[in-house]
Amino acid sequence: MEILEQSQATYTILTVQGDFLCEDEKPTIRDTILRDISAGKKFIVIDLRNVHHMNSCGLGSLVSCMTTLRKCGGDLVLLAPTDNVKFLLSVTKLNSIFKVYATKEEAIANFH
Amino acid sequence: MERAFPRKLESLEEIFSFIRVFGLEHKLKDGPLFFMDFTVEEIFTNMVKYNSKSRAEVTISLEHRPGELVLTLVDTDADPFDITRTPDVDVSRGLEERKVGGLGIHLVRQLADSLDYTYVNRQNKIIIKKKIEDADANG
Repeated sequence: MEILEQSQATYTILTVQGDFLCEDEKPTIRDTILRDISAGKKFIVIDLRNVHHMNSCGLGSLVSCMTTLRKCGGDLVLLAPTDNVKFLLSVTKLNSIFKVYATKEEAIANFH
Repeated sequence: MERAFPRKLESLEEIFSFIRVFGLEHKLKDGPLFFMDFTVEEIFTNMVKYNSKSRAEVTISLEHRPGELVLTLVDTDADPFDITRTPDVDVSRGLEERKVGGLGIHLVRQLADSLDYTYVNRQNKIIIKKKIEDADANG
């Protein structure tokens, strides 16, 4: 898994490439978000358009990141998940917890 | 199609390739492939994490029968672990009350049409069946 980071004044976009499997992998999305929080960046968009496979550990790490961000007054939204990932979010009812957007513009507007 | 894989998370890449080859041979579409990737990965990872003392390889077999896929995972030299009897995860809870663990088996149960478990001679055997439509194959 690769994570590409683009930071703007009010938000950060983390683009995930490859399989979103487990927190045993490095770098982890959680490490990246903790670093962002330390730098005062608390509004995160996770771009999932290139993630075709996610496992329960990946889902768990999204929940963990969201909890951490919310506790420090931040927020996390998901951008363009593939049908497979959308299906997992639906079965686990995480689609009621995460805001999901089809476009970058819609995702960013959530933070204004 | 059957193959044994070393008991380590690094085997996952080979397992996904194994599933990909099976999918190509049987002309399976994305839905069934996703089901196989997800299910096999979750159960294999559990076997590796929770039976780390065993040195035995984990055997995975994939079958395409008329109207269904049958996946079998065999974990040798293992203590019993009946995934059909693990407690359900309450997915209706809000963010603060969500537990991170247990989602994998919950999802496998939700995605599969049937799950069978046997434990004989220190061997856990899990058989997962999934109905598929004609449109899911020959694509």
